[in-house]
Amino acid sequence: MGKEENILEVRNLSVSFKVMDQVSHVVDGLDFFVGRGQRVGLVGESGCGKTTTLKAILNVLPRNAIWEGDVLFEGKNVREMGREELNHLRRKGAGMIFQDPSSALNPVFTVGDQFLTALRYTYDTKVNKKVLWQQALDALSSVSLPDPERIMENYPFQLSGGMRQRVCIAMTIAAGRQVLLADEPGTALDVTIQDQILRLINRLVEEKGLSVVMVSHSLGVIRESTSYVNIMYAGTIVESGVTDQVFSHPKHPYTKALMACIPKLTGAGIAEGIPGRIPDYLNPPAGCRFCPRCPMAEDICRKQKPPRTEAEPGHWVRCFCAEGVR
Amino acid sequence: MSSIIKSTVKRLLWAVVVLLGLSVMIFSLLRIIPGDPARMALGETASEEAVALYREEMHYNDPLPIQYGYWLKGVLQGDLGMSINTKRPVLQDVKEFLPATLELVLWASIPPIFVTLFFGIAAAMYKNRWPDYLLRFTGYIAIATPSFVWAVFLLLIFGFWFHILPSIGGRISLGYQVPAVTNLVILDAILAGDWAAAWDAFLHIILPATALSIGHVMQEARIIRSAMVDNSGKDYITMITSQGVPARVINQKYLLRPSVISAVSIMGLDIAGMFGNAFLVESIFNWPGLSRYALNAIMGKDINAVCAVVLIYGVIFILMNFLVDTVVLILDPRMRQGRSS
Repeated sequence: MGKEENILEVRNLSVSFKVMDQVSHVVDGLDFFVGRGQRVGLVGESGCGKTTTLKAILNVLPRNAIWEGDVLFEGKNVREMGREELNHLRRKGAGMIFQDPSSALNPVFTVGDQFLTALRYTYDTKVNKKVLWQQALDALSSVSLPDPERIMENYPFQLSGGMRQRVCIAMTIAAGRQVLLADEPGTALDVTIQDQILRLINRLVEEKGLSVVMVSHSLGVIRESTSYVNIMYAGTIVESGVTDQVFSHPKHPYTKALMACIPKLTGAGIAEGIPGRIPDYLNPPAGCRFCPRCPMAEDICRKQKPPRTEAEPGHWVRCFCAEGVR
Repeated sequence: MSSIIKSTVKRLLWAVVVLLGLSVMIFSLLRIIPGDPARMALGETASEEAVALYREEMHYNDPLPIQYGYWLKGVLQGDLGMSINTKRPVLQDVKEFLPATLELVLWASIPPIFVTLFFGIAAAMYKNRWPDYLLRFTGYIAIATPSFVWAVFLLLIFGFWFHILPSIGGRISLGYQVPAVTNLVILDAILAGDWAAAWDAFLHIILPATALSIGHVMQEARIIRSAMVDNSGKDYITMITSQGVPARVINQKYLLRPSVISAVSIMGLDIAGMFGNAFLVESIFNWPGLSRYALNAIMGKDINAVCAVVLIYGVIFILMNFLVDTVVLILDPRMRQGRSS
């Protein structure tokens, strides 16, 4: 993967949250890259900092967040952007689809009001309202929503969860952004709707040639819709590589455990799960964060953070003990 | 929009039902008190025949429900009985004193709405910085201090020490003659084109209106502040921010509207409550209002006057509730759905 073609690079990103008088260190030295037109997956358990990472890319972290490291969009550092540059990134560069569609739309304004406001600012000059309205209708049609005129006049609570998710997707793709940040799309909805939403996103990405960061805790979703995958554990990328390669030859003990969790149709019954839980972010382990749950942990794992190592060509892992590392 | 009209009509009908209930209560109050109403009306010296005649004339010998019917008919025609204190029809007293209280409450409620919004928004935007701390600190003091204490303080500071505002009270300085149209002095002065009188009346109303509203302003500003701070962390704000909409537009529209809904309901009740609570401020500022009149009526056991004031404040309370519900209905579409289905 040629670095000069990366549309988005996240380097050594750390995000902490001030909670009361304590600091919770959630994202810890995270790196990942997205090539132009590439579909990249970000997989991990709930609470490992996936949503936080996406929010950092658009600089929409909550007010109590403290972040370090660099997010480069087309070579420009998001952290150093002024207000105008930042809004330009949000309007034309990257857009985010939120996990929970029931809370992502303002309950007291119509869909049309919110949609038009978002669209209006993607133009540098004043654009006729009719043109914007038509553009919004087209976007709603492109996400297979029937009767877009009516939806524009509806309030979010008058729509079903699946419809709201489609509205959010339409808002994000309508302005012609280049990168789609999809935060567990459809997870908050039932399984059949989730499947429809994923198909929709994949279709739109194909049609428009978008770059995608697909965040999910479902390995199945990632395997189907990405070409490159980053396995995330407690705020760090522990393993990354071409999706097929990572899935067929997982190196990191966490990835292996994660794969073992998938219930298989053939073979011995229910998967076992990973013992233990995500570390306490107020007081995370000093060395490798997976160490307390790792069956292979050694002394060095408890003391030092493992470096990012290329275990085989194009397949990186952060582990002292993985095969190919030593 | 049709759902708004539908639920508005529904609420209006409810308001009528509540008003009827209120009238029954007031009527019962009038009849429960010990003593013969005919004797009380005519006095100790009236002859027994005159009292009997009066009793027949006022339908006091009929069953209570029928009496209620006559009484209600009278009230609807403006017959609120005679006042023992002033020896005049109560309606005449009300006409004289209500406009002063109405004017006071109007000035203590409408301009402060903008002050409330400004304080609330400023504190939320500067959360945990000095404007926020200032609002919270002064807020505590303002809320904890009763309005009559404010009245005295304000009168001392601006009336007696600095001499910038009138200190003897009243609605307007002697020497100004304003033709009565609405009986709201400032409005009448403006209608008459007498700007000097309007300004003088305005100077007179500043202190009582401030004393009456300051606690409410601070309380509601704090409610708006916390709602805005809460809502600013909501997904829908992050979402619209991530779409590149300028922060100014988000704060003034997409964050503000969901954040004022709870404050609006409280504002409405506070404004309605001001009518009843105004008597101390009216007494201190020598304000010829209905609340002060009611206080005197209670002291003098002037039952007709008390009932009239209770009825009027009841109507105001119900109207205010209706108004608030309608505003909330406009602000929050979810309410429309809930009521019409």
